[in-house]
Amino acid sequence: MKNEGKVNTKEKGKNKTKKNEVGRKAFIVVKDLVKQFKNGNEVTSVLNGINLEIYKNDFTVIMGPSGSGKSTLLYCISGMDSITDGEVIYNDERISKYKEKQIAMLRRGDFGFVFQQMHLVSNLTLFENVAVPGYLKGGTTNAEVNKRAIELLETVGLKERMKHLPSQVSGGEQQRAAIARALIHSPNLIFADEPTGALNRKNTEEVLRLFTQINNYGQSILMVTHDVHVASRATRIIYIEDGAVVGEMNLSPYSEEQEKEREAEINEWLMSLSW
Amino acid sequence: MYIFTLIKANLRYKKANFISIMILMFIISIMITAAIGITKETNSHISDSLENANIGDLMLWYIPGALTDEDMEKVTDLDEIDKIDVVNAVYTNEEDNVTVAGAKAGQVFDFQVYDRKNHPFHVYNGDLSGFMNDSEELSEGEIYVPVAFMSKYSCSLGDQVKVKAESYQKTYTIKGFLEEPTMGNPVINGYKNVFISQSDFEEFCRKAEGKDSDLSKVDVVQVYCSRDANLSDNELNTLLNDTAGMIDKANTTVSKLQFMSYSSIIINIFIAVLFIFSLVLFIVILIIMGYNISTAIEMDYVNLGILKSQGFFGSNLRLVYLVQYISALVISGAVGCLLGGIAAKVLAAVLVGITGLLLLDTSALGLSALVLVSMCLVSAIVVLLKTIKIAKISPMVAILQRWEIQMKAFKFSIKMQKKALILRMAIRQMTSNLKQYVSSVIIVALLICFMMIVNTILTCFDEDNILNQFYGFTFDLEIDYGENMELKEEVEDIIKEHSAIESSSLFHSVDFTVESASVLCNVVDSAERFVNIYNGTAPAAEDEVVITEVFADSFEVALGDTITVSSGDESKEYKIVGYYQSVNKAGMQFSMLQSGAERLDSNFEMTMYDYTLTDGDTADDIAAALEDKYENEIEVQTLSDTLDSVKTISEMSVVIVLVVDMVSVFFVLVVALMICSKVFTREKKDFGIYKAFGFTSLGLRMQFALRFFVISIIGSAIGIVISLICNNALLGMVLRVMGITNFSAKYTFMGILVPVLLLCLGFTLGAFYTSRRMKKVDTRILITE
Repeated sequence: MKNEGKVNTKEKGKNKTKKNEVGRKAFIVVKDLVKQFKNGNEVTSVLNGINLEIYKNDFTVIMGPSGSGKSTLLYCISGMDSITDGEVIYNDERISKYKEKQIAMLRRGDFGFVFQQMHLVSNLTLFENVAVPGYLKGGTTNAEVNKRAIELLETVGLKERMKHLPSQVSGGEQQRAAIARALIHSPNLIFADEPTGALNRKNTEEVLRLFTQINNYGQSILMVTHDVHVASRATRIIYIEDGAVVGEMNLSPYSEEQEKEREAEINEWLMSLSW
Repeated sequence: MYIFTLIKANLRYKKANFISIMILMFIISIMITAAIGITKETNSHISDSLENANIGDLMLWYIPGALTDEDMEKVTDLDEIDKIDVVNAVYTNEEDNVTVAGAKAGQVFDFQVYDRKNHPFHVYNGDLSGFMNDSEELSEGEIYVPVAFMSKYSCSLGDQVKVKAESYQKTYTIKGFLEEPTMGNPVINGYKNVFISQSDFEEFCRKAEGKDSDLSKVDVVQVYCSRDANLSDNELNTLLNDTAGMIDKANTTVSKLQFMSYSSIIINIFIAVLFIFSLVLFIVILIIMGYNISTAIEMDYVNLGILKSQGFFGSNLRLVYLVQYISALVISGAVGCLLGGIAAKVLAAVLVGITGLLLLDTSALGLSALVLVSMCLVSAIVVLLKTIKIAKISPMVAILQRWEIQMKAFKFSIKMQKKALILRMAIRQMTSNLKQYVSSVIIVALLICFMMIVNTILTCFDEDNILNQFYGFTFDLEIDYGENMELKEEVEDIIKEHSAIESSSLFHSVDFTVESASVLCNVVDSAERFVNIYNGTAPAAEDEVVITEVFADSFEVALGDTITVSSGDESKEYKIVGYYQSVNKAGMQFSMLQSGAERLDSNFEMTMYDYTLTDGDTADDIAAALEDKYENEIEVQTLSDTLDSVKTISEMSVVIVLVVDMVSVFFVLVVALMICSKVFTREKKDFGIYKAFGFTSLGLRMQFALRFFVISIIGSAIGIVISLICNNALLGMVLRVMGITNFSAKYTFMGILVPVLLLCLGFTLGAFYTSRRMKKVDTRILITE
């Protein structure tokens, strides 16, 4: 059943794709990933044999038009969603074959998530939202988890509001709390699905500053966005369309001074892909 | 038309809810229809059965000759009296000289002729499904016995009834079982009527005439009132006593109304419990329906807003809810009503062996339908009240999805930490939206309360409690020395070989006349025997009596009043100084001291001793030893012999407890599935979030189930408190029919633990089962494409 759906390689964009340096080892490898949804007898292909690699310390952004399958790709890679065919390999382990408990263990240590709609647990305070996932991890004491949660909330500027419920803070603050939550396990990779999609400009900047800051400390990030301004923070952009990777672009680490140029460069690249 | 389209849409997604409500209503409907059918038929059937057997308005027992022809003439001359009928009977002085299918009778059998013409008692067919069209006359050696013998003596057709008196030995073969609505019901203990052929009876009588015969004769007189007499029992008693001293001369009397009351006691208790249980379950349905509507409105808020924006009025949408819920109730109620008729027939068949009555026409469709319609009307009011909030939905707010459940910071919420995280999460989840668990708590509380109340019946009818609670006088061994008082010392020596005697005192039951009615009077030699006085004091003087509430109601007297008690030609006044209770004679009795009885009858003699033993368990062995040695000289009874009538009720209460427990657990399971399913759907996103951060399905399922375990424990605690508060009053009301007017519940650890365990386990397992969908909760729920 592999690659039964429509595959669009967009040859014209391929020429503009920059290659990764030789010798960097990918810690996530996606091979021939297919994702189909069934509704009765009707089968819809969303991902049509995706192949890609994610490198450590990178701030990788997946871009693409609406309905291109970028969020689905993110969740398929992270094990949040099942795949129809292909495989996802993380640190040489085929995690796409993992059982629920093994996936849960990955989420307790290796992966962190930030969602567009924040998805904080409404009856937990910001502090508890951050700390509770930390309690799950073995080898740490209650006090250690609490200490780290407070530190993270301080980092995201929410220490003063840590006893508030999500409904009592703004969207930007919720998203910052969500980033702190994603960091509680010190994960190898943070998956972020349009994390600024529901935020106003001011909050968007605040959240992007945070992502850039943690990436500068070496945190690997895989983010989905359709916003060039957000993508400009990335060190690598993967462009997908109709469920297939049609282009890839590597960027130097972000600096505020070059922001305009970076955005223009990305825009130009995207235009070449018929964005 | 829009109604059907919207109902169809609702049913598509909420099928399980409606099916659950229909199942619950179906069960209630069956129970109510069966209960109504049985109640209706019981009252009319007992009356018909007494009519069919041509039983008089008053039945009186006399030593032959005590009532003269002149007395009877005087009475029959009265305008109020239609006729008097005398039936001769004979019995063995020693009740255990008769055996049924090898078992000792343990009570006096009045042998009478089966008079098919004048007293044609119904004879059951072989499988007890109906009556013989025409009962057969008995041949020599054949006997008809009450149908209740089947369960009491485990006998069947063809078994033998043996008379082994010294003066007469005879073996009878059981030819058939009778519906005997007078002495045949198990509540009347101690005397039973059995029927033999004319020739056998004549032979029996001849043997009773000998000077040293151990057989006795008795005349059973039946008084029939004129059609237009319309006398109450008391008025009839007064009339008969004033005219010919009939009541004073009688050994004992029982009226037709009393027979009807005794015959229906067990059924009434059973049905009362069934009705109250149905009511409790109906309240559960109303609560669950209210909960369903509230959550449905919350979940469909946007859809309702959209419909309103398209021109639907709030009343249109409320009508949709009304029609869908009421039609679910009506359909399930109607099906339950039909099947309830069958259930009533099955129940009637089961009750034959216990009550001695075959209830034939148990269908009560009309009345049941009326009750169900009333229930639907109440449900309609609940639906209309709960849907009021639909009218307040603003289409704009709903469509913009601005409406959402706001979580409140719960002041006393449990702190989250690593230790016992799952439990802490469960409690937090619960306390942050307590409102949605209120219905669960109320439902568990109601069911626990009812289960505990019913379980108390079972506990209170065990042999340890029964005498203390319900007989008024307690003993381990009761020995009537009769004319052989000289044996007392010797007998007590034998008793002491088995157990030390803790106390012994004289006791005697006798019928005295109170306001022309023959009433049982317990006479004791010491005020210390009155262990069960719950209001006032025990009689201390010879002119003092204690009474039951049944007695008080019947004669309209109260504490401090004076009653006139007669025996023969003597009458004395006694002051009422206290209340006690007893199930004996359904509570119609009073008690006094020996000196009080001697004041009324100078020849009053007490020959029966009640013994309390240090080791009560030896009573049966002692009784066996004494019966062996003094077979015809003394009469020995143990506690278990005395409790026969209550045993039937005890057995019934086991059935009631089982039914209540099973139905309750089933209800809790269905309710748990409904509520948990709603809560689960509502919290699906939270589960997705938890899963995204490493919680496993099993961990989350445990958290979910644990939450409902805590809910059911809280509900149980409330249920236990309610039960402790209202148990005595409620059971006192139900058990009043059998003479228990001051019920004092005894709780056992198991009596509390079993219902709590059953419901909590039911609820928790229900929640765990519902959360099986947790595995299918895909974190995809969090994805915004």
